[in-house]
Amino acid sequence: MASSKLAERVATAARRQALTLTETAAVRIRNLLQQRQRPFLKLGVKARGCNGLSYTLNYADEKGKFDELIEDKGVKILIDPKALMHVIGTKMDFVDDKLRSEFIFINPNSKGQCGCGESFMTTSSTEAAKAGGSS
Amino acid sequence: MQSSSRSLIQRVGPIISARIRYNSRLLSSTSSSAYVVKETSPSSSFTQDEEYVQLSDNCVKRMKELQADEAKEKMLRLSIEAGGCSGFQYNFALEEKPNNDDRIFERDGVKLVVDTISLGFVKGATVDYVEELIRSGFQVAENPSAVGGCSCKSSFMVK
Repeated sequence: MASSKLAERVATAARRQALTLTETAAVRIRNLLQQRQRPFLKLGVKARGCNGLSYTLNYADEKGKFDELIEDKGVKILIDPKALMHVIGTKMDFVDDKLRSEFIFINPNSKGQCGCGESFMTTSSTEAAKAGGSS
Repeated sequence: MQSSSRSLIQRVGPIISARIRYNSRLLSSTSSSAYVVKETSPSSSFTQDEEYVQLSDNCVKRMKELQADEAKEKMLRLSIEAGGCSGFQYNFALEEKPNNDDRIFERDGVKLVVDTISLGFVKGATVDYVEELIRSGFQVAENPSAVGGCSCKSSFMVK
């Protein structure tokens, strides 16, 4: 019983660390979700951009069977299972100035990045690319 | 071997000759049309001979919104920097005063300013303002001088 509780706590700790949000990002996401009246934002990756992968962000209405649910600072984010190994440990921030406002991802797995930070490469993505296909 | 060097010259030649023609046009006051500039939306102040950058509707709308918060009149400056994943990247800034080597493009009271050197890389392009969930900001869309480029459109290669 004690061990299962411990296992649960380890699991939740790991889940919480998969993705963290800065306060600015959390505030922005909270506003977006409230405005559109949607329960979740879903983070994914797709193979494109100049350097392997790029992040995708969409609204989501329900948690898919294999989606990873992250809850941080009162905000719920789903991570697409295909993206999980690429984004684990990422910190999501939001920058807002007059000329642009965007979510940025500080990803410790990233081995190289596009100037705007949208495209990035991880060792798993380069291996996948070599194998001739990327999720 | 010979065919590959020939095609390299074929590729590089037009770029070099275009730059030479461009530079000579800067020096002389007469302009001869060396480029076929794609005419997109009709604008009476631009002719086929001139180099221009256009502003999209969204870009104008966004600039008006930004201007409402500013005390002084601001212009949007587009400049080119070396960098990014594809060679060059675009840089946007808000400024009040133009420099001597700037060209100003105006639409609906909104001014876009580009320095002469950057203009060579963006002539014929359109500045747009795009709003997505993940980001919103100014972008350069449809740049005839660029090939390839980052998907977020902040970096590009020149033909």
